[in-house]
Amino acid sequence: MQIRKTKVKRRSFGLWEMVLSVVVLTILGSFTVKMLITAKNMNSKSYDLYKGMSHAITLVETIKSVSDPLDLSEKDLEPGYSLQFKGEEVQITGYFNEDWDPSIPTKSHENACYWVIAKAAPLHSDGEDSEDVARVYKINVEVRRMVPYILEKSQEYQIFSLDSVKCYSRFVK
Amino acid sequence: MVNRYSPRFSGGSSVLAVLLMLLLITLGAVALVSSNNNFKMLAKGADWVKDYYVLEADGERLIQMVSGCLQEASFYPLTYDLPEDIWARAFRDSLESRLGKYLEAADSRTPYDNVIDKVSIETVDPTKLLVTVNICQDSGSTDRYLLIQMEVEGLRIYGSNDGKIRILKWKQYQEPFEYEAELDLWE
Repeated sequence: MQIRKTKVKRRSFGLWEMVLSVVVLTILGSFTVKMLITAKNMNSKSYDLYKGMSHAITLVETIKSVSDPLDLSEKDLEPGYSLQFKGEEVQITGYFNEDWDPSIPTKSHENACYWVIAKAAPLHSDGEDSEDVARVYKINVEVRRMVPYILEKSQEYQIFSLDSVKCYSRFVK
Repeated sequence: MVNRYSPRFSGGSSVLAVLLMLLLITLGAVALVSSNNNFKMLAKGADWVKDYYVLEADGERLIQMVSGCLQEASFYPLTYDLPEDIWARAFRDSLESRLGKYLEAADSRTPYDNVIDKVSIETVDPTKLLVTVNICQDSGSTDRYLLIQMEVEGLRIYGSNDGKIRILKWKQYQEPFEYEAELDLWE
């Protein structure tokens, strides 16, 4: 009896098909990863904006709450802030780590992630003759992130800045 | 019997991988849109805070103006000999002229780009004035206002700085919000 051998051609996934699918999946995967990282960065920026805004408002209201900015002391401030007087100008500086906890100050502030600076300087208005009884101060608060977000290049990022004005009048009771 | 290696059944894992990838892309897009909207909302809140402090700056300027008038009034020679209501009248004139000059010079726009909506000075008693100022800020869809009411108490002793400003109201409010007829969902 003669057995006839026939060659059965079995079709399956070829090498090129495999390579192509891996390439397509890699491209799609990288897009997905990029998208997820951007979403994470956006969430971090939102949280930073919220925290930065709270810090800025607290600082502005603290400076406004005293009867004279030169009367400010470190007791009036929240932990993490330091106070400096430069003539009539008042400067408040704070460094915070990634969790927005006050960072222990080192010389180069390497461990700090966020930097908050508030300045209150007298505003000399023209034509006003009431400066001795009512001094107007311009208050500026700036909140910055010193560490870049994931896959972002810029070293420093301004989170929030706030400008305000306060009139310290001896007549206001 | 079904042949598991038949071409009809090959590629099942690839289909799974593609489906998984599609799922991940969808979830990534949803996360991105959601975080972007969250950030936009917070940025709006941040703008609101900035605008509020700009509006308040004009209130502080008003205090400076009233303080200046009080200081001037402390040197009115008439507080000694004449009835006290003359002090009130003189002080009122001084404040009105100062506010008037301020409004004229700025074309009713303040240096902080707000508009003084209403100014009223009432005499409460011979030594007290009630100053009410409404400052308006144009903020897109609705106007925002800062209503300041202060009681200004005059001096009794010539040359002293014993005047008093008591803030009675420092209230920020907005006109009722009106919904737009057409809502652009993609904005």
